[in-house]
Amino acid sequence: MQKTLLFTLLFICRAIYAQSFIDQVIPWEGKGFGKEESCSIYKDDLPKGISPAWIKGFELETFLPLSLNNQAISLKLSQWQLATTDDQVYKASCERLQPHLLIEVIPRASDSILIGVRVDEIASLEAFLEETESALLNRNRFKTITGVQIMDGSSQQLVCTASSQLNVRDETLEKTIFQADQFENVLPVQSFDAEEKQTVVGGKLYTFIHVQFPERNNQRGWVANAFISTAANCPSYKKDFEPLPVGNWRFPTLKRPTHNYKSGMRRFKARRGGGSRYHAASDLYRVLNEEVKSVNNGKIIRDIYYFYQGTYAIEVRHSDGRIARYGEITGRRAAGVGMNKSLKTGQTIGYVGKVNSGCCNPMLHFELYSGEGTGPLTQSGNKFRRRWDLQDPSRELTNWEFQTFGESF
Amino acid sequence: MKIKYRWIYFIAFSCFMIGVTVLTNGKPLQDSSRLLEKNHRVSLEPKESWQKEVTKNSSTNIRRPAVAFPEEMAKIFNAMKLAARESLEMDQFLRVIKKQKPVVTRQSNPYTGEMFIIRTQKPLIGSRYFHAQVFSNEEGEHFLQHMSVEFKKGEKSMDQVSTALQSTFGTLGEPLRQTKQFRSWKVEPNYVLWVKKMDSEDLQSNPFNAYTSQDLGTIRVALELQVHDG
Repeated sequence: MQKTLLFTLLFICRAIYAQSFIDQVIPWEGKGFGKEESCSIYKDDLPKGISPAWIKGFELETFLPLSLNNQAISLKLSQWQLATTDDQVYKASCERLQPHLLIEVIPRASDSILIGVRVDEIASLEAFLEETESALLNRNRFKTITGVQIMDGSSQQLVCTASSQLNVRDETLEKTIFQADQFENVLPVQSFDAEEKQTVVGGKLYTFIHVQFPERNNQRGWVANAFISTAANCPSYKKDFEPLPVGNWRFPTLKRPTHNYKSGMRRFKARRGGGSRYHAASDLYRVLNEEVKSVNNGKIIRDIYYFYQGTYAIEVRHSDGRIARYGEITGRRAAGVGMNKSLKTGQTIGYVGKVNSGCCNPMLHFELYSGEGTGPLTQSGNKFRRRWDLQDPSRELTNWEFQTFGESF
Repeated sequence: MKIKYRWIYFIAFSCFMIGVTVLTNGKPLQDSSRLLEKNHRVSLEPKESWQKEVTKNSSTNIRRPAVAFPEEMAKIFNAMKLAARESLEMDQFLRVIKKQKPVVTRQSNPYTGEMFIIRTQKPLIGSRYFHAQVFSNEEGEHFLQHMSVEFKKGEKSMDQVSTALQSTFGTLGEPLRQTKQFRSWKVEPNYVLWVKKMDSEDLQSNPFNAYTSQDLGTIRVALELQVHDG
């Protein structure tokens, strides 16, 4: 009797102790992805077109919304409509995804989808996603790779409103600190801890994210996520600009390079990697953060991207058909520079950068291509590791240098 | 008889107190490191106090560690290792990072082809600003041009990240360049892997990431196609 009582007490004691660890660990370990996703749709929030009768007796208290267009779904519900109320489609979905209940909602203007599913019926999020993804791909309705939608265009993030300005709030979300302009650049802040807030504005629930405005001296504030988008995904953003015809040529740096770009490691075809590679550019040594100029009229065909050790590059198709890669510039976006935007001769395209290993002087790494080739400029298959139509830019640079500065190396 | 059962009453009382502590989220149970270790199969040394550090997420009430666990770092570095090849299986790569909610944009033009920019909305714990640039060649094969991620600053962060990189890549060998702030290694076939303790210049004018001066010292890791020898 005594022993039984003792073992019972010890068992209870151990169970309580073990439970304490589980409570500590599981929330971020992913107990129930519904919790981890931290968003739910409730019956009253369902978009027009989904009637509770359609759900046929299922409880609608906890739903996990997923999005394939990377938008916060709860913000977009009012814009969505039920695409297929056809019972057969509904049944087909259920058959594919049994025992899960799938509700599919398609917005009017893009290839996006909302999936609601009963959390308590899913054993594994991963299995569910794979199953759903395969069902969607089978229908061949989405341009996807492994269920991830790919948006065409620039990844530049901007304020995407139809016409008006956007309220930027303080951290309490109660006070508007300023108004951001339509299409103004923003940089979403990712802290090491998740940072997201929600509040109801005008009867709608909005998720707010922390952003920085680079054109406002890096001022920060909170904005509704629904109005921040990549340029690629912003319908009202103008995405194409016509280039001007060929104009006068000029040298791509503001002043003459400090070193001869036709000698040493700076020259085109200098040996790299002990002779295993050739240098594919002319390195124009200048001063950090000095302006880099467009050598002629043209159009930006590849917006600013990471190039090498903390520097960036932009690709321009000039009006004579040649392509230039302006490499090792800083990440500072010059006014009027963006995907598909047109450029004029001498327009500032960026600023002289410096690689963060400290190996080299600040420079513009200038690559030139005839434009006869296609595909990415960086390729394998030759010692330059560049596309076959790569040109030695030295001769052109010499001419442009003389035209621009009246002397040349 | 009563004396004989005193110790049973004592155990029962202790259990009751533990139970109360648990239900009230009491401090005596905060040290969950042993179970964390077990659940995450932490394999990399050292087992520092930062592994136990847990902060409370204000918006979602979810407890998250402030610094990346070695296993989380290893996941990211494994993705880097997977990508450092002549040809990248985009499908496989996206599967690896799928839980981090990747946002993929494609810049395509008739002159220089396709470039995919992949960023994540839900970074792995203790990391942020994951960014990858993948190009397609004329045969339609993909290859990685750049991949980077950041980790929280700390006295030992640089060494911890370097150790984790060595552990994941296995054959990094001697660094190409090594200072207190920067280390780089050659990774075949044609990549450079580098770690940088970010300084004020690094924080300026990044067109993708937002920074303040408080981010000085953040650790940035990148894998890129090689341009210079250094």
